[in-house]
Amino acid sequence: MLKNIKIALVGNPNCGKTAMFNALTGSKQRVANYPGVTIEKKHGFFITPNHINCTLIDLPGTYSLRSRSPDEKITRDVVMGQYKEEDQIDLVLCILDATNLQNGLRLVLELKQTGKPMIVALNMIDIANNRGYHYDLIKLQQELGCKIIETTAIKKYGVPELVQLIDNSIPNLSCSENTWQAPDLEKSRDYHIKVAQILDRVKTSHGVPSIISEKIDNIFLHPVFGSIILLFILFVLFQAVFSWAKIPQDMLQNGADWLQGYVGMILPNSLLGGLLGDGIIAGVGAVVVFLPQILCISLFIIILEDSGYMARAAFLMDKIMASAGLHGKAFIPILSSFACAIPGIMATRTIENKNDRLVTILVSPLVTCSARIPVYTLLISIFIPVRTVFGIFNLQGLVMFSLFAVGIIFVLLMAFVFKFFFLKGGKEPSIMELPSYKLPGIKNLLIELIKPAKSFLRRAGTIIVSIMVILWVLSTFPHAPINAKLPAIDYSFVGIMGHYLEVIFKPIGFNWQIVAALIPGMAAREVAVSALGTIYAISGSDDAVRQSLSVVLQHSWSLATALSLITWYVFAPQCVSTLAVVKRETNSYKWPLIMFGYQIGLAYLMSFIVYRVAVFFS
Amino acid sequence: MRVILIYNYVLNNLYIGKIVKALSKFKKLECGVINKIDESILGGGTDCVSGEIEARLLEMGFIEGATVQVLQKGMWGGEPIAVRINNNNTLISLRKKEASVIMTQEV
Repeated sequence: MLKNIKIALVGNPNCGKTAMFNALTGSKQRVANYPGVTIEKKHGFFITPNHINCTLIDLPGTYSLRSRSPDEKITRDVVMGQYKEEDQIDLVLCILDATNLQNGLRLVLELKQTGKPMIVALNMIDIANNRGYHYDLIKLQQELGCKIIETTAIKKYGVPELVQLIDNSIPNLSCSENTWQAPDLEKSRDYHIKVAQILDRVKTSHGVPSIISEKIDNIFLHPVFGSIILLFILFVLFQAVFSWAKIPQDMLQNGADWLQGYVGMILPNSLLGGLLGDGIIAGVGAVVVFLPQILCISLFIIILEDSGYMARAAFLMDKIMASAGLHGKAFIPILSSFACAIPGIMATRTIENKNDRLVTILVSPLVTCSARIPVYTLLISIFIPVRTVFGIFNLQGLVMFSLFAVGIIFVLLMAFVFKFFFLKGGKEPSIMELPSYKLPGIKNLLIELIKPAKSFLRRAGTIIVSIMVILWVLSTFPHAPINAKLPAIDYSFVGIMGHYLEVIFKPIGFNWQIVAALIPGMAAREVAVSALGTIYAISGSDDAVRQSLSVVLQHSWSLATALSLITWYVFAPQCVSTLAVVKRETNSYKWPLIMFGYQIGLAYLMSFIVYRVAVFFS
Repeated sequence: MRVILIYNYVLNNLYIGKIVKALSKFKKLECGVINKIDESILGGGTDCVSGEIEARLLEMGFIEGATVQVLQKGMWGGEPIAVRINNNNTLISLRKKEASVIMTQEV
């Protein structure tokens, strides 16, 4: 008898598949990426009462085995055992939404043809029964020729029985011949007719749709009230990310600062101390501070997703997003990117279409993130005069606002460019299900919340640490000569590179000091400010650096150079962490390279224009 | 080309004396029974793979003989629309272009 079996978890979107995955496997899950595609390879583990180890593979939700994208092809290929990254599966577990059997049963009919043994779960049976949907299970079992069980995954109802059922069926698992063929239009209609006949025979009563859901929709999808509610929810999300997450964020920052100081104290003036303190601790600290924001945004997204509101939000935003060629669902990632592009890019996972998701990933770093604010604030306070324009506006505030606005305009513009020139293939009709509203399950919520936190920390611990070490080495070696007159960084690789690269950046008005500051600024945008301090040989606390830096910069930079640098910061890919996340999310080097390339190109072009125009007028 | 297609289509359906109306023309809360889903009415003017819209509509539960009701309409130009099929629990949202290939008659 088998000791280990593999089970494929299949179902329509919104059928409660992920809740079932969590109910069966709890926290025993492992998430990796399939090579070459953007989807996650989610494996979970559980043991049956007869001590059989089960590996559950959570596959992307689908309405048909007909593959429309490389991602969906995986569902089909894994089920049929044609995917080389996965072994043959022993059993298919198909989850159906009991309140909406038509679409689910069509998938079951297709799955039957693959010849794999199958168990079908009628999920969300509590909601179905409450609404008056009742089915004759024995008849349905005969019609489909496989075991059927009623479950409510988020309440764990029927889950132990399901495990028992899997256990009992293990001794006689056998595959029959695979006769599946991609259904054409005629075949699709045949499936419809078959399903209607089956439902006629097994349905003991047809329920009524949720009146409450309909009433909520009348408000939430109302052209005026719906938009106001959406704005309010977005406002709370913003508030949570910028204010509430600030407290734990400051605590983490203080902790990292303290640790850095402590290392500096016990290992003064040593290489090891420098590497540990200024390299690793400062670098990792700069990344880990984003964890509270990521948790905050993820929590919101999971609640919005599980309650059924996310699809409504996409419905309301559909027209605006469509004008730029983006999917309605792209607005949450773009919104999250105001905090940081990293959680924003991670939030694109809710977009199923591969091209739509790639476009959203590519444009999200153009949104003005919070790390740009220190740089903007510094440069604006030095170079933009405090003046009132049009009677009421403060010129500095106006410049700040326009930088945000330019970011958003370019998000839409670049999305349009990508969508209509480069990623136009594979366009899909925008048909989407709006599931009825339901309360999210707390336990399911917690399991889902841990996932982004874990994958973020793992990345911070690997890729980002190594990049931080490299940047530290570049700005520390070679050492300055003993009788050096210039600051040590002038003699380092960063200084040398700054001098070399100056030629390239001269046309946009950058001097070598700026270029050299941009290199460590790759670690995190705001690091450029302290790097400028180091290069202009100003030492002291952060505030002191900022104070004296303004005096120095005012004398050594022209207005045109400052404007050019601000423009550079609007567009340039000044953040390796973002590129590392893109690498991980797209599972290829191609997309981070494309992102880096287009952002550098755009930044150079825009800075050039701004610099030349400013020089012309001054 | 497109005019001829629509003309043919109307002709094909009018001879049996039924009033045919595309789902995209529905007012809020209006009901109808689908009598034909036919992507060729768009005359091939879609960015999607040929037959994809029709296939997707079928997969989401739109089928000849099903009753449909428009429950919600979007703010800008009445797009997208939220449709209930066969008194089901979930709604399906679609844009006008997709809704225009669904032909209905009165209940």
